[in-house]
Formats: sequence, structure tokens, C-alpha cells
Amino acid sequence: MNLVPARRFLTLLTLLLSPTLASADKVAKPSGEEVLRLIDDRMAFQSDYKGTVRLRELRKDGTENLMELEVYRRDSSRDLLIYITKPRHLAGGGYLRMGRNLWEYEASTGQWQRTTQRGNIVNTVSCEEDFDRSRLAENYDVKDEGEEVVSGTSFRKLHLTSKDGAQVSYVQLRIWVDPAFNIVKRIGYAPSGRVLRTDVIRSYQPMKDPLAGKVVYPYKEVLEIEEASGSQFTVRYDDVTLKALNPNMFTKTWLEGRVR
Amino acid sequence: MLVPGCFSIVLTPRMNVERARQSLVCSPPSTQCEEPLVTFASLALQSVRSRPRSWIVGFLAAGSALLLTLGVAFLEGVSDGTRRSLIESGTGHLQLYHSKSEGVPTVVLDHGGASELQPLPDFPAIEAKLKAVEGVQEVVPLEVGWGWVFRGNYLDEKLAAARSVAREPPSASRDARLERLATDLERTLRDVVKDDGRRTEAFAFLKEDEAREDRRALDEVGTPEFWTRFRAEPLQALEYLENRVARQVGEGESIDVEFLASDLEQFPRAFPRFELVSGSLPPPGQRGLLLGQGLYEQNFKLPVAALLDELQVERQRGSTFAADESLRTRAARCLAELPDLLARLDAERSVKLVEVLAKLLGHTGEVEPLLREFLTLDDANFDTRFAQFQGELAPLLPLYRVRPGDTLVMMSAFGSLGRIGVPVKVWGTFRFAGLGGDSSRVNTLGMVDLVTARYLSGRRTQAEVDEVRRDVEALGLAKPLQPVDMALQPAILVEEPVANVEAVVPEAPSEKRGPAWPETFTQAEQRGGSVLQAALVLSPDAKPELVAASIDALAAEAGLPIATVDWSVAGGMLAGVVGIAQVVLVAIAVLMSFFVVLVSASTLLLLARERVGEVGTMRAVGMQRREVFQTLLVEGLVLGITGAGLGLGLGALLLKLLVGDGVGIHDESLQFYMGGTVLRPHLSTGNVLAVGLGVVVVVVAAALVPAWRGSSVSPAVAMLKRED
Repeated sequence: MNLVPARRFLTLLTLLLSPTLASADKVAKPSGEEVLRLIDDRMAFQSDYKGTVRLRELRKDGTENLMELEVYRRDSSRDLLIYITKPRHLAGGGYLRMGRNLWEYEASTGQWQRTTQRGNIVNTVSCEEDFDRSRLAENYDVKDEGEEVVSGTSFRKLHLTSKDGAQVSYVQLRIWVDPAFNIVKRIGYAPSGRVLRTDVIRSYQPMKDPLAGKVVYPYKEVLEIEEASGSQFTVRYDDVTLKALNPNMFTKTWLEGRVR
Repeated sequence: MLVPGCFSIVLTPRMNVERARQSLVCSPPSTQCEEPLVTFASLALQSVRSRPRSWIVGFLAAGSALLLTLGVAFLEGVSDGTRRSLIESGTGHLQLYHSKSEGVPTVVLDHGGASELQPLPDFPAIEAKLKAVEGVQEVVPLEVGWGWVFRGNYLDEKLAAARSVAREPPSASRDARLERLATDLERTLRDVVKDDGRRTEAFAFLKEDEAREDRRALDEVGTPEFWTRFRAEPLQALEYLENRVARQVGEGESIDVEFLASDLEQFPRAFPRFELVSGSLPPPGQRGLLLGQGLYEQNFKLPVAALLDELQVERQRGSTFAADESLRTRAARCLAELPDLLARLDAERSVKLVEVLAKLLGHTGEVEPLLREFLTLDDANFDTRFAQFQGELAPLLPLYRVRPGDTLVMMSAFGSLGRIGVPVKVWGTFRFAGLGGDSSRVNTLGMVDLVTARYLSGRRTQAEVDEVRRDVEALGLAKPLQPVDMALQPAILVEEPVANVEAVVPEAPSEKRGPAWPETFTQAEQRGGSVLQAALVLSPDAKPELVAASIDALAAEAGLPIATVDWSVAGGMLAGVVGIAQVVLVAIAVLMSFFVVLVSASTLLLLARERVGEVGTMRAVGMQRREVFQTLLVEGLVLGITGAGLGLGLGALLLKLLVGDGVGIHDESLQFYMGGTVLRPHLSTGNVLAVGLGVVVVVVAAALVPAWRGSSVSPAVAMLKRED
């Protein structure tokens, strides 16, 4: 069977059925916890992930920056490798998460530094979580805040508070979920309740996970707005593949070899 | 006949009406009463002389004037000292900047970070024009910033050294060095395993399975098989050590570096207090970092040695181990830092150390117990041990973690998307002489060249800006800022054809790049790049305000977007200390004024009450109320002037006798504000006049109410009172 048309059909069906799903929702609306599990499940894959992430920053004063990263993930062992390809002065550097270590690599000197997982990836608003597997149900308690109907579409609104001991970037989140269980908007708050970052998830890219044998929905394009500075980041995930990566990929030696 | 408005009268407590009448001397208002104030003053003086209780007011005025004279003189000394310190340590007499900038230039950062400054357009041309302004001696380009360097734990450092050797192409020399490092690592890790108790305590937050995993890793590195594997596959074994073992020794740390960037050739010439302590200045055209001696001692010295230095300072201040808990805590920390010290010793150093320790302690043993015994400190042995450490042990130890010639990666959070890490070579250490030793703020700075500072600030060249624009457009990401409150809409599902991307080959190197941060630069890159501010050093006889005015005129005439600020602005929070001291002095003066007003007013009121009868008599013989009021007020004036004069004179005398050529400042933390090791209080004419006038005004103000009350008694009532 040709997979792509089948997926298109499924997508079309989902869109067509959205209002129906919304009305059916009134009958059997999943709980907040179930919504989080559904979201995590839709975005989780068993195969290794590789993608090129392009971050374009636009500041209020018009200054523009572009960063390009190669992201490699192996969720089965929680390994993550980020390799910077642009801008030129950062190219060759990267981040490597192995077990409980998160290493930062400085290509120009060949130095490795252990860093904090909560730290921003190369000082952008993007955190390690942005490139990692969705763990909403595992990390957050949820409170249902009802629904918002916009142009006939009903969006679930959930308030998330981090569980004790959970390693998260935002202790509070508020998310809006469309009828197909895609997060469309997310606001991250400081413990004081101050807004830190607003994300608008514009699109997802459905694709088949060969190992799990199901369709998963990783991000395609996200607009991130940093509250304090007003800077906006357009984050686009290109060239995504779900296939087995080199077994020795998540090592310092691999990244050093890549640069050398 | 009495002529209102012009008379003289001597009021004494025992004066009777007849005498008062005789005392009145009347003349026509315009011709015969030419000096009424003198007359009032003469009257008031006689009155004051005959009433010793009124002297209280004079003494109060004198005391206030004395205190204010001393306060003002010391404050002026501090203000002048801070001004000189700032000017001579990089601020210059004036700071030049782009007049369209949002902020103003500062040389000392406060918590808000560096000011938002626009680069000066065509700095070399501006520099040439400024040098033609009379009084301008040097134009020193500057930039201030903040960054940090990261320092791993001692095992991280050892493993990094081993990794860099393991990455080298195979050779006999590489294998020999690797073998030495392996032996050293094996010994260090044996100590780590031995230190299990302390580690378990430090990592008590770990989950059970994590702690088990850590324990297993330690067990494994304790086996001979692991080290056989290390010698065969060093990179693989290093991965294991780095990821499973190194973190068990502790976290690394970041060291903040506030830096001043300049032309490192010109700066020492323009600011003579700058002196090189170790190493050398970077050669012209070479990027480089100089560490302030204070920064170097506090952050890059072996922890045990730094702690011993701290103990020595405290002991010199008179603290003892017996009485001071903090000394005992520091001594305990010396022992806690032993594993770090031991890990930094190679086999050769260890052997030598044992020999020296055996000689000092009188018996031999293993290095660790010997060091532990040596560093078990108390009041009886500290002085000897400190001298022995400095004289005999320190030369055997790797006393500093960074030495001139090493390269550090300076990180910065400023600038473009990236957290920028710029490698920069350490060339030496410096100090600003006479400005507070190693604890002084200016001696805990770093100094870098302007090109490194530009890299760290993330300011890009036009070519880099254009490149970003091209890439953004090519990727279809060129969209304007979006409204924050955009309406919700369902996510779009974008289906893409399955990318046929080959799995990445690990050995495949990425495209060959030139060095991201070249180590050298041209003069044009340094001064023509983007200079944000410049220190103007003026000739000794130049007046900064006049030079600033000339520069303003030049800017207006030539259409240059330049402006200047003086040291009090550019000095940031350090200059602010002077402002705070001024506010405190003013607050004290205000409080003192309230006190003087209250006490003086009540004293004068009492006196006025006692004189009701006399006032009544004077009113009865024709003296007007206004004239009585004026007389009483002049009494206050006389007391104020006499007291203020007395206080000022006494203050000046005390300053001359007690302070002389200045007060020696031994506390290093204060030396910056004093402009060196001597504080020189001095009195300016303006301040003397201000103090004198202030005191007189306060006393006269205090005399207002008593004068009013004293003069408002009606003659009849006053006469009755006198009868009583």
C-alpha cells in the first residue's frame, strides 16, 4: 500500500471529522490526564530521530539571527545529540546528553563542559525539552480549565503544574489543545506566575515510525515568543527521518570526529 | 522725643526704666541712623555677654560647625580619592560615547550589566579630531563587559588532558604520555574510591538505582581489567570515566570575569597605575587576556593555598583559632580540599612532597596523612606552618590552575543567538598599584583586547549580517514580528515526502573551516571595528569641564554624534559611593539642624520669658515691637556667627594638628575610595562658607519664634509682670 496517500486520507478525515469529534467530545470528553497521555503518545516514537532544526530570531529592534542545528535522538536510551552547523562562529559545537550528563562542546578549543539540562540551548529560548520526547503526563499535574471556542473550533485549555522532583523548564504551563489532540498554544510561566515564553505551534508533520508501526506527529513549525525581550523565534524542523542511527553516535568521540 | 525706627538701647536684666530712657539715643531716620545693624549688633553683643545662658546656643552652633567641618573635609578627601582612583584606573577624566546611545558609558558595571551604547562612527577620525582639542592627552578606546570561564572538577581536568593526548595520531611519544596519564588516573581514581563516604554524603539526593549505578562504575574502574582496556581503547574508556565517574567527584564551576577591553599597548601608557605582575602584555596585534591579580588569586589558585592566604589575613587582623569560628571552619576546609590537592599531584611531585613533609614533621609516611597532619592548624602552629607552606611546599605544588600561556574559553551571553565561547590566551596578571591590593574591585577585573571584546559582545560585521539575511530569505523564514495575541487555530499537518537522507557517517568530517576566532588582528580591525567608548586622559593643567565644552562645540561644528560624561557618571556604582556618603552627611546635617533648632529655640524662649519685664519697659518708653523683634533676632545672629566661626576655626585647627598630611589607610578594601593608602581630608573655601552660612541660618531660624514671642508682649502686661 502506498503510505503517503493513506496518510493524506487520514489527515483529511481528521480535519473533516474535527467538528464531529468536538461534538462527540461533549459526550465522552477525555480527562486532562488522558489528554496529556494522548499528546505524549502522538509525539513519541521508538525509532531514532534525526532532523535539521532552523531557528530564526527576530528581535524588536529588527536584528535577525539564524541558527541551524542537527538534532539526533534515541529515546530508548534517552540519548540526545545536537550539532550546530550555523552560525559560522558556533559551527562544530554541540550538546550531548548521555545518561545523567549533559555535555556542551566548544569546537574551537575541543573543550567539553558539563552543563545543566535546564539551561537554554546555546542561549536561545529553546530548551533541551524542545528537542526531546514529550513527557507531559510524566512531569505535570493537570487542571482542566474548560474549552475555548474560536471560529467554531473548540480548544481544550489545561493548566499544568510540575510534579515534585520533575526536571522541567517551566514549573507551570498552560496549553490549548485542538480537537485532534495537537497542542496549538503553550505558555510557560515562572514559579511566580510571570509569563516567560509563549509558543504557537503552527504545524506538525505526521510520519510513520517504522519501529512502532504507527503514525507519529513531531513538530514542523513553532513560533516562540520570549516575553521579557519580545524576541520571536521561528523554529522549523526540516529533513526529519525516523530510522536507526549509528550505534556509536551518542559519544564524545563521534562529535569530535565530526568536527575534526 | 523718640523717633521710631532708629534708636539704640542697652537691655540688661537689671535695667530700670530710668536707665533705659537714658540709654535711648534717637536720631532722624535717614541721616542720623546710618548703621542700624551695627547698633543692633552692639546691643545684642552686650546682651549676650551679660546672659551666659544664651551661650548654650553659641556652643551648639560651634559644635555643629566643628562636626560639619570635619565631616565635609573627610568627605571631600574621599570624593577626591575616589575621583583619582577612577580616573587613574581606566575611566579617564572624561568618557566619550555616541550621543545617540540609549545609555551612558560606565567603566564599572553594576547589576544591570553594560550600558547600551552605539559604536562610534569612524573612531580613528574622531580620535584625530579630539587629539587636536586643547588639554586632551590620550584617547583610549574602551569597552566593558562580562563573561565567564568554566572550570570542571579535578577529574574532569585530568580526563580532558588524557583525551587530548588520546586524540593525537598514534606514536611512541603519544603512547608513553598516555601511559603516564593512565598510571596517574589509576592512582587518582583509587583515592576517589577510598573517599566513598564523603561522596555518598554529597550525593545523598540520588535515587537508589542511580547510586547503585555510580557504585558499579567505581567498582569497575577499580579492576585491573578496566586499565588494560584503557590502554587498548583509551577513547572508549575515557567516555566511560567521563560519563560514569567524573561527575561523582563533584560539579565544576563557572568563574565570572568582568572585563575592561582596550588597546592593550596604549592602556598601560595612558594609566600609569597599571602594572604587570606576571607574564607579559600580548604582543601588538595579538588577542589576549590579562587577569587582575585579585581575580587570579581568588579564583585560579589551588583552594588549599587560597584558604591559607585567607587565614593569614585574618590572623594578621588579630583573629585566633580559639576565638573565631570562621577560622576553624576555614582550617577544616583546608582538610576537605585535600583530595583536590592530591589529585593535582603527579607521582614525581608526590615523592618530593613526602620528602619535604617528612623533614618538616619529623617522621615519614604516605603523602595524604602527612599533608593532613601538616594542615591540621591551630594558634600554636599556624605561623610556622604558613611560612613552611609558602617557602617549601608551594614551589612543589601546581599553585595556579591557569598559567600565562594557557588558553581559556571565555563565554558570554550577550550578542546574537549563540552563547558565545571565545578562546583567548592568558598572557599575564596585572594590578592597579596602590588601589587596594587583591581585594580591590579594579584588581579583580580581567583585561582583553578590543577584538576579543567585540567577539564576546556578538556584534557582527556587515558581511555577517548580510549572510544571515540571505540565509533567512533562502529558507523562507523572513516573516515580520507576529502579534502576541493571535487567534487560536487548529494545527496544520504538513506531510512531507520521506526524506532520503543517508545515515550520518561518524568519521565523516564536516567541511573544513577557517579559525572561527583568529588569534591576530590588524590595527584597523581593532580601532576601526566598532569602538563603543573611549577614555580621555587630560593634561594636568586642563579643566575637564572646559575640555568637555570644547568637545561639545567640536561636535556641533563638525556634526559629530559624540558626547562626554565625567568620572562621577562613568564610575558607576563606585562613584555612587561618594554620592551615598554625601547623602549621609546631608542627612546627619539635617538631623543636627533639627537638634540645634529645638535646643536653641527652647533656650532662647526661656530667656525671652525672663526678659518680659524689660521688653515691657522698652515698649513703654516708645520702642516699637518690630524693633524689639529685630534686636532679639540679631542676638541669634550674633550667637550663630560667633559659634560657627569658633567651630570652623576649631575644626581647621584639629585637621591641621591631628590629620596633618593625611590618614594612613591600612584596610585594602577602603584604599580605592581614598585614592591610595593615605586619605587626605581638605577644606575648600566653598565648603567653609557653606558650613558657616548653614549654621548661622539654622541658629537665626531657631531665634525666630523666641524673638516673635518676646516682642509680642504688650507694654501694660509686661509692666505688670515686672511689678510682680
